[in-house]
Amino acid sequence: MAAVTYQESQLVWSKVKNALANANPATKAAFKGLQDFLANQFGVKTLKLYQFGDLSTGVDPDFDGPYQVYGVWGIKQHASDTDAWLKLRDNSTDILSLPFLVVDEESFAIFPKGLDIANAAGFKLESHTDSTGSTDSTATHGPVGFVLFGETK
Amino acid sequence: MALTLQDQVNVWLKAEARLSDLGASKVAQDAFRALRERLVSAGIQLQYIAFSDATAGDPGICQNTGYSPVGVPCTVYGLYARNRGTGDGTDSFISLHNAADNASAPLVTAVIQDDNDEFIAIKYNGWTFGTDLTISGANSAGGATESAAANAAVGFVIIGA
Repeated sequence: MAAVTYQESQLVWSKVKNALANANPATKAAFKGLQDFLANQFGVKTLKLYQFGDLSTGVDPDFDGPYQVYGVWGIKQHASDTDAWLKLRDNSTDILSLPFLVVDEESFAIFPKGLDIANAAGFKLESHTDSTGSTDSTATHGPVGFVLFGETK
Repeated sequence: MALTLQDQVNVWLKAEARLSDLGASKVAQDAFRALRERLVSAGIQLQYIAFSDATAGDPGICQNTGYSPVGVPCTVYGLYARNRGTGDGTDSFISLHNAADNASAPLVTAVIQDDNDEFIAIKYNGWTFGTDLTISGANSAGGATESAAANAAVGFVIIGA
């Protein structure tokens, strides 16, 4: 695995802004709040934006840990109402599961203090057909979006 | 508690007070303020439902089978959860089940890892809970074995019809 390539947070937030260009204003405002919070409360200077598309076989970001997850955003872009659950998995344990059930469904989760990824070697992003199972969604059923990583404090 | 919708001004006052009482981070306050602005423009009535980490009785999410506050279908717009800082770092998984108890697969799940950890989940046009809503704090993802109170979270959900 490769080391995480963190970037200056200002650049990362610029990418987040671009990724959220067509997102709901509530989403944009929430991530702007996260930006301010991380900069002003925690002095976070570097971050990593990991954008995902097709999760039909799961995606391993493939970089060394440990690290933290601050935020996740997804949208069900494809013209499908087939249920899909976006999952963050740490060593096969679902540490976050968000449903994407209908077309254009958009949601996000924020961990202001950061969600510790203890077993980075086993961290995966997946989309499954139900919340507790492990059957992969097809590419056109799962969401696209991003995960915002930071260094473990 | 049943489904008792109110004008949003009452709901958001309660949510803001709860966020303040729990010492929520500014990002949590900002996120719910943004949700408020979105939902106020939608002109719908809402309900604020607080939950605790108690292991017995309402509104405890660590009680046997979880906390089922409304008993009817509803729509969840936002979830705020925070550990009170009394745990030992044991993971607790907060879940929203589309059922009258926590025995079935949850719709939304996230882990609470450490003392004072916060979790915010928002869907501005709502997750539909077509059967019922049960909030549960369990020791595995989507599981039905309840956490110890000290490891779980307190917080609230904002729901609509």
